[in-house]
Amino acid sequence: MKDFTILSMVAILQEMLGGLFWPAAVAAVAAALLLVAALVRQHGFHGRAARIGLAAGVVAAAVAMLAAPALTQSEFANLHGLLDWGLLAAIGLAAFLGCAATVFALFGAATEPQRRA
Amino acid sequence: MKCAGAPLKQTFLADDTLRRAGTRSRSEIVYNAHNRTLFSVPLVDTKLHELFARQDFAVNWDHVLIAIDPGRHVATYATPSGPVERAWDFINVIPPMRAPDAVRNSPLPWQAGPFAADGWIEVDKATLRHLRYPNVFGVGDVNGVPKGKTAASVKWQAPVAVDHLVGTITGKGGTERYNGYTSCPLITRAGEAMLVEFDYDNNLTPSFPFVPPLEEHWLSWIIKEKGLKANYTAMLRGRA
Repeated sequence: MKDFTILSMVAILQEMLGGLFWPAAVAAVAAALLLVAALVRQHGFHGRAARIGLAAGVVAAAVAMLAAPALTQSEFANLHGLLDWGLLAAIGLAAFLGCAATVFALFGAATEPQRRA
Repeated sequence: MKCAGAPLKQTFLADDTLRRAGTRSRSEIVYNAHNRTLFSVPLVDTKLHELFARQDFAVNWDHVLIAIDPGRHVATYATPSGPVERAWDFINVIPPMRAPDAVRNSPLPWQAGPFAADGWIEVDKATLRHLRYPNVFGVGDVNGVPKGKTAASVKWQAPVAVDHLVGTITGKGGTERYNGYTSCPLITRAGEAMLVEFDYDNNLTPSFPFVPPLEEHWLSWIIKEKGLKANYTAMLRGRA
C-alpha cells in the first residue's frame, strides 16, 4: 500500500471498528489518564494493584492468543513460521500490556498505596 | 478479465470447503484457463503451478466459455481444436469484463489493439492521460492499460492523474508516473493467503518487505480479511 501515514492508519482503523471507534478512542484516553493517576498515587508500578494487573494481563494474553485464530476465521494449523507465530505473540503482548495497564489503572487510582514494611 | 486472482481464489476456496466437508477425495476440481497461463506474472504463475499440483487441481488450457446449459449441467468451451463440452456439478463462471456502455459508446476507447474490443479508455500507461484528448485522464478498471484492475491500483493511480491534471491546469505539467502497481491477495485456503503485488514489468513489489509475497501466511490472510476492505473504503472517502 502506498503512503501509509498516521492519519491514514487512523482512518483505516476507524473503518475497521465502525461505530466502536470513538467509544474505543475515548476509553483508551480515559484509561491512559487513569494510568497516570494510578502511577502517581501508587508511586510507580508496584504493590497489590500491580500484581492484580499483571495477573489479569497474563489471563488476557492467553485468551487473546487462543481466540485470535477463531476471530479471524482461521485456526492454529494456518500459522506458519516465525512471521505468523510472531504476530500471535504480538497480539498476546498487546493484550497483556493493555489489560495489565487498565486493571492497574483501575485498582491503583481507586485504592491507597500499600505501606512498605 | 478484471482481477485474475478471483477465479483462482474461488478454486482454492472450493477445494478448502470440500476438504473440510470430507468430500474432497470423491471430488474432482477442474480449472478451465482461457489461455495457457494461470497468472500473467511468471514468478506467481510458477508458484501457482506448484500449488495446483499440491492440491490436485486439473487444468484445461485455452478453454474460453461460450455456452452453458444449466439443465444438462454442461458447459461449452471454445478451444483451438473446436468447441468442447465439459460436464459439471458446481461451476464458477467469471464473465468477460468490459468497459461500461457510457465509455464503450464514446470516443474515449482505444480504436485498435488489445484493449479496443472491450472499450477500455485509451490512456498513456504511465501518466494516465488520454492519448487523443489531453484534458482527459483515466483512473481505475476503465483504463486500457496492461495491468492495474484492482482497488489497490486505484490508490496508486489517483495521485498520478491528479498530479497531471493539476499540472495541466497550472501549466507546470506533471511528474508522477504510474508503474502498473497491482495487488492481488491470493487466498489459498480459509486462513491463509499470499500477498502478491507487482508492476508493469512483472516485478514483485511487496508493500511489507517482511512478508514474503509467494508464501502462504496467516498474517497475509488477516491483512486481506480485516485490513484491505477498510483500507479501500477509507481510500474512497479520501482519507487513506
